[in-house]
Amino acid sequence: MKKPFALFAASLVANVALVAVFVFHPALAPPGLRDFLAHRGPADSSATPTPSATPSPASVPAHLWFSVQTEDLKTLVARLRATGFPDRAIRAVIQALLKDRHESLVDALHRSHPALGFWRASDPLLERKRRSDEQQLSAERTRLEREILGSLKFDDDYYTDRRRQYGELTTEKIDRLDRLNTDYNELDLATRTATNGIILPEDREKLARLEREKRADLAALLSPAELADYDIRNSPLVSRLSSTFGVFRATEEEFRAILQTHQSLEDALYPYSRLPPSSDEDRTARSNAQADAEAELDIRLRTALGDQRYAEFTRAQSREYQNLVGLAARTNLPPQAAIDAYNLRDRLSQESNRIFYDDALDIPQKRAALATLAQTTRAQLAATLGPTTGETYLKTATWLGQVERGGVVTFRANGTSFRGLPANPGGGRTGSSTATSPLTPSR
Amino acid sequence: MKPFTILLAGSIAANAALLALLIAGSVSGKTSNSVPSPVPSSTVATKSTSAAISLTSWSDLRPDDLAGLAARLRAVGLPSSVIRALLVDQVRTQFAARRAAFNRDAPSRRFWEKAASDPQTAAALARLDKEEKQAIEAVLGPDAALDDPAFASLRRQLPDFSTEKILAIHRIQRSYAEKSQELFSAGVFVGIENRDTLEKERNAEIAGLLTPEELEEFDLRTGNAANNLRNRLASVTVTEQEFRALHRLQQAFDDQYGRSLNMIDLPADQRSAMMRQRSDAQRQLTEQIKNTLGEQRYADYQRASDGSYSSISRVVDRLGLPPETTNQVYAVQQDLQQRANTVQSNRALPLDDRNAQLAVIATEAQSRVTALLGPNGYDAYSLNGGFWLRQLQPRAATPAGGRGGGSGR
Repeated sequence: MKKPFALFAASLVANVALVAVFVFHPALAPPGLRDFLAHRGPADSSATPTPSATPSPASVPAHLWFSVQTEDLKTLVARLRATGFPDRAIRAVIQALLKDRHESLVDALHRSHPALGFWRASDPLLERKRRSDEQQLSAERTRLEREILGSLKFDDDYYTDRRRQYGELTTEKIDRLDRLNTDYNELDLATRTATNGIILPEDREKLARLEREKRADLAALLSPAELADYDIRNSPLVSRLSSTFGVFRATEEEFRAILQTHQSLEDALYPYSRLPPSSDEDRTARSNAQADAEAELDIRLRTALGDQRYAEFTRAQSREYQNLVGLAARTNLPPQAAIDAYNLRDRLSQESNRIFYDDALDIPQKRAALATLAQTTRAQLAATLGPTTGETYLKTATWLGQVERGGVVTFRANGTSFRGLPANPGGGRTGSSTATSPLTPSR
Repeated sequence: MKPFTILLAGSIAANAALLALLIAGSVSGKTSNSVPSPVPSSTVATKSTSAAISLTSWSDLRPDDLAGLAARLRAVGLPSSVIRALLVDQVRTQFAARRAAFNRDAPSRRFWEKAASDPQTAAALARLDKEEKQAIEAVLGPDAALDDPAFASLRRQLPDFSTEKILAIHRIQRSYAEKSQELFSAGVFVGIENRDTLEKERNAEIAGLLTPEELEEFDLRTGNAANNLRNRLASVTVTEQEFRALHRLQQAFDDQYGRSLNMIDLPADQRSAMMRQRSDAQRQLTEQIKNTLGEQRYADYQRASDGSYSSISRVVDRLGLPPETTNQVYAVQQDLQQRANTVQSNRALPLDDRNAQLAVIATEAQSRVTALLGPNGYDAYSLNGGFWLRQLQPRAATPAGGRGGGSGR
């Protein structure tokens, strides 16, 4: 009789011990039970822990993650806060988890497409559908992130940067403006992706409607003065001219004059910035208007800035000059070295043209003069920039090689053109082969 | 049955059930994220260590002490992707303070003057960016690549490659992309010659990593020759073996005569000889492709190799028209282009007569293409692949100082 009672007592003790193990170490439970125990266990005595309710170390299991993890990411945010995670770190955790989820879904999307075999091109229709579905997944991820992390604060640096971009707005307006821009960017991207690069009239109407709606929402959110300030700060012109302003230190008066002059001609100057032409006639008209606008812009800028500053502004727009200034700064050369090197380049262009059109010289004499000019310029550039910087710069100066081989170089805002002397010295005509190549580095 | 017996049986059964749960819990593993981690981490473990480490709050993790932070994060059972995110965040936080030093004059700086626009500041920030990147790589180790979308893309393209091999390829590709970017940032013109040199070095390094069979599979799935070949064969049915054979032929040609041929700097006689050699090799390649595909399929291949054909295909697809419309429009284009070329090359004909004949062809072009694509389709086609239509426009005698085109700012 004693044995059964002893067995029963021992069994009861084992029951209590095993239950205690699961209560105090929910990680040892299967997944389905783990959540329940973690939520109900001593580690979490309230349904929604407040930031100030830091659980005592003795009551929180050593496995921190297992005591806070949950499928409900909003609850996870609250729990992480309760354990002292700063907002920045909470943001990193949630973004990582959402990224994992997103990548799983994208992988599943790729797997759901029929396997055509690596030797076959994708079906355009299916490929477009897949891209559209991926975009929707991205949009959903952004929405979830916003919903879950909405209560978190950004660092002060974030709002400082935003104020430079948006103007002096409250943090609440900045957050709402961020959401507005994200939403409209997604809609714009989805519309453009669906066109596959072929924009039809209905697409133009849709994009124009989106633009109108965005303007209306901006006007509803911002005061007229705030909106005007926002428009200046976010003008595509400011972005386009940012490299120029990096080397051309404009006063506020000069900046506004330059911006206003560009804005008055903006549509003609940048005809392809929003939508491609709708027809060949449209393309021709835009091209002609652009040429006229560029000429008009030069006149107005010269008037607004004066000859000296206009010349400096024009030079600052040159990508090659910007690169020279950057190169000089990186190698601790004085800024004047960049200006001198740029002037040598211009003088080479002028002199090569003069030699090319000099009727007093025959072809062999022109060729010799051009070669001498190029070699002299090469030596002068090396002397101006120093051996190391000079060598780096001369690698980019492919136009020097052209002149050395008997070519003429002309630098223009839209690129560089070359003309070559004829190969046959007996030919009386100068060469007419031209090649235009952008001087900007390719990406 | 006596109540005592029932109680005893119940208690024993409960013990059995609890033991079963304990076994099930240890078998299901320690990682239980709310979302699955798609890539098994190669080095960052997700198992928590023993309870001997007392880590119950953020401050216990000593986040400012980067040296052992990864181990402490692992100890509290965080998923590998979260560990990586927190490590990166901590490094960036530490560098943010240094970066903020460049923004001290922010209140006085006008909004159009970015901090990096000053060349000295830009150079210093670039050095700081590089240092930050190296710090992140140091703290993450090989797992740094797991969060790069380029790695995810490679993984999908190379499903039969091990994660380690893909990581190694990704490392090489990224290294060369950074070299190219450094050249660009230094203002060095990344022209054809520089690009080719970097590409050759990169390809050689990848080739050194793979067996010959693996290299072929890599090229077949990611190489330029294979990608271009796939596009040209989009409307041609080929077997896998045929594709492999064609790829070998194309790759051999590209290796010899690809972009590496920069003929501009060669003396004239060498340039001519090189062009002749290339031309002969191209003819030979064409014959080999024709032999592989046969006459009919080769005709389809040739058509698809024409860039304007794929442009027409995109327009037809966008308009939702039947695929056979592409061939119909292409046939119209071929017919009218040939007739227009005949007119344009007839220099015996006065300019006005040539223009008049071209105008007739232009009207016919608009009529026939519109019948196939619709009016909106005609406009879309003329802008996307139908550039030849512009050559049908009347030519004027060039005046002195003629109007130039836009500068394309």
